[in-house]
Amino acid sequence: MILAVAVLIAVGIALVRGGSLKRLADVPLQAGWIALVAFGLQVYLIYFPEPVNQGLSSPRVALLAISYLLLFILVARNRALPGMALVGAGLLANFSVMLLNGGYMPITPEALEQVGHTRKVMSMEPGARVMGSKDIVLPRAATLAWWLSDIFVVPPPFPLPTVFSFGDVLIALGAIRLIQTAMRAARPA
Amino acid sequence: MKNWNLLTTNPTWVRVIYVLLALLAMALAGGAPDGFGGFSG
Repeated sequence: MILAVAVLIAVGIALVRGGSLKRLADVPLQAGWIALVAFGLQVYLIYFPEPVNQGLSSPRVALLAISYLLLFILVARNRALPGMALVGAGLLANFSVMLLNGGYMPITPEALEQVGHTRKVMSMEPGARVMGSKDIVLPRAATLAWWLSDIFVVPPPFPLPTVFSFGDVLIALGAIRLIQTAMRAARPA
Repeated sequence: MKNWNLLTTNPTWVRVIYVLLALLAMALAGGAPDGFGGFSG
């Protein structure tokens, strides 16, 4: 949700800065449908999850990996657009740490408690899925490349308490740069 | 309803909606915070 809010705030800021929503129509985005397919796959995986992570051999993990591979194709095809390099770096960061830790994004029990989302897990056992997300509970000591996992905690009273990763920051910055550049561009003559 | 029809039959606005939805889907599918599309993060 926090990433959707970042995209919508970017649109709002561009409008305040004199940009136009109509300029988005001029963005030469190729194969944008790939993002919609990847998103659709993940909606299924996230809202019909396996309760405990079964590792890289799980068909659901394979499907999640396919959704990320689709996104890499999308970024490669649109690499010339401003901000896409940042999005690609963010995807790589998130996908790497997920692959290293059994296919899902690790989050520590402490981070879940700080943000008040402990009700979203059946247990705090290592490998338990966090409902409504791509996360699994994993203690810091058991997490490979911990610094790429969900470590940035924005606790309440922020209206959307959340925990996000370095990769999420890069993806948000890339999307914001693309929207700002596109909406504030001069219309082609 | 009339406004919606105007919006969906105008190619510029259809393209705007398509680009915005694709960017939103890319950010949501690529990112991995502890909330996906719900309202709890």
